[in-house]
Amino acid sequence: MPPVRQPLEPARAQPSSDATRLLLVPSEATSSEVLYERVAPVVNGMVWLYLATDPERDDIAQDILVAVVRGAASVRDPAQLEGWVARVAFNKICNLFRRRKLVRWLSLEALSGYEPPAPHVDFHGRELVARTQRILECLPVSERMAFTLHLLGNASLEEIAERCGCSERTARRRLKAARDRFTRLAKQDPVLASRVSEHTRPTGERRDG
Amino acid sequence: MAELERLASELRQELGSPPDAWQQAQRARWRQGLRAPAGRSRIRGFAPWVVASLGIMAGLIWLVAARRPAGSDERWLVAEELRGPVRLDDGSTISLGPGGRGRLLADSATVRFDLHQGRASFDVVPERKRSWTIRAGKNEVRVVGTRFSVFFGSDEAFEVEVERGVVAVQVPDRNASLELKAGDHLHGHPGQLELTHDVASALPPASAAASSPAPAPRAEDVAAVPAPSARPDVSAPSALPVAPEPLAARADWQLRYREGKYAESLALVRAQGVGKHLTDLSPSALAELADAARLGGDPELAVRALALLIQRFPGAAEARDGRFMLGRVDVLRGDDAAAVEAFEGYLHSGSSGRYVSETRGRLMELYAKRGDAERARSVAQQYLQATPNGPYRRLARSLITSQP
Repeated sequence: MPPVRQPLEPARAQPSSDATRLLLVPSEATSSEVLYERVAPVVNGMVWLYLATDPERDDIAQDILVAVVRGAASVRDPAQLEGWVARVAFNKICNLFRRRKLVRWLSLEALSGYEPPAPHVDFHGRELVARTQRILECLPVSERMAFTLHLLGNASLEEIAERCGCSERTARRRLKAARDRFTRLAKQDPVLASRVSEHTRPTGERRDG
Repeated sequence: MAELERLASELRQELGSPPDAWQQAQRARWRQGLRAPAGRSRIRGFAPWVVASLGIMAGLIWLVAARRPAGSDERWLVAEELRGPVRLDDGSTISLGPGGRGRLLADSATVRFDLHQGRASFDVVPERKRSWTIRAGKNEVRVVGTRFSVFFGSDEAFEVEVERGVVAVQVPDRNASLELKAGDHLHGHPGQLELTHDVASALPPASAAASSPAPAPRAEDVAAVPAPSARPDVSAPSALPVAPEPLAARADWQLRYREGKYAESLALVRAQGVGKHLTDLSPSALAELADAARLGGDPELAVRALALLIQRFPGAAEARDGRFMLGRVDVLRGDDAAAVEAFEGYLHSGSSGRYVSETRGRLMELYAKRGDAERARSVAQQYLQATPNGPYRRLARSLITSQP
């Protein structure tokens, strides 16, 4: 049974909901608040996808929103706003991951063993997601960004290539490399290992990720 | 992807969409204008690297600054830009002739002037703690306290004219320094320098103008080796009455000698007239004076000092070593007979001296040189018996094996 694809960007897929949301904005709202209501679902969706269990999730989402609101005036075509916002959020998160890797490499903390920030208390029981995020941190950033879209966002190869700003061929190569790494690491995790089946891919099977 | 399908499905289900409560909280935060920084401060992680970088930079800056002595003065002097002589803090002056230019570096200990072109005149106030060096091409002039001028022109033409005092000139053609006195005029090109003496241009020394007469006229080619001369009469008093030098002044040349600055030491000896009062010196001072003269390029004065040392203090340790040194100076002067006499005297004074082996080696050479093979073999046998691995062993063996 083929997996059911869920929309990657709710704001784009359900344009009718924008009008509903905007109706909820108080009449005395400023233009920034109006803009927020339009871009927040895209930003929150992207942050939730990549940083659901990250302790800095809320701050990062606010930072992205600030950047989006400040730079929204540069978008020439208002119809492309959501796409632009998704690209900005994607790049911000990508830069965050790169910066974290660099800081981890440069910081003296690396000498005594890096301890990632303690996650929030898992009130929602997202143990699988938390364990998966820890493995995803071990992947190269370019592979992690693409593979997260696929694994958690159920995005198609075309969507992944578009979001990552690369060709489908490159996206497929990154997905394959990330999947191999992830599978190998997931099999070492006692919780995730039981959910990774010993499935052998048929020779010549063409996969889109 | 099939092997991850189950996991992916559970992950998507667990992750779900952003909760409304979280989105509302984010909205409320936005409206409240909360703009907290994106992450924990990274300054703490970077701080050690920043501090280390700043420390390294500060160290480098300090090293560069420390290389340059404090209070140093470095400037270019160009005749066309100067309105008059350049006066230094100690009263010394530097004047440039037309077209003259050079670089001056002065600090509390040294003054150095690199003359690039033209004529420069110097009036140096004697100061013991400050050394003056003038460079003109490959030539170097060291100053004690004097008035003189240096010229450096095309084709490396070099000229030094001394009006007062003494300077030591180091030219590429000679290993030893050349001391110029008042009235001396050194001029020419590399390899063809000539020294002349002009009485009229000589000024009396500033400090002893009243008591010291002008030096006798002389003219010589500085490249020429001094001709061998008879042993001077060390007991004869100086022909001209000169007031004795104070002990403090004597100590200056000894200080320069102990610093290894033999030419400057010899220049001070001459300037202060120490050579005319050898009888006032102690055995150790005589030995040091002889060394300064020998190494500074005045073998005649060295011979005088050593002869006086041996004559007046025959029992002193300096006198015994002085015989060996006298022999060495005599060899340098080309007086082999006097050298043999001095070396034999050294050996006769005892067999435990530190130069016994060296003396035997030199005697071997001198005996062989004058054809006295029997004595040469005798000394060679003594040499090999005492020092079979000495530096003269090959000569000694050859002398012994060449026995008829």
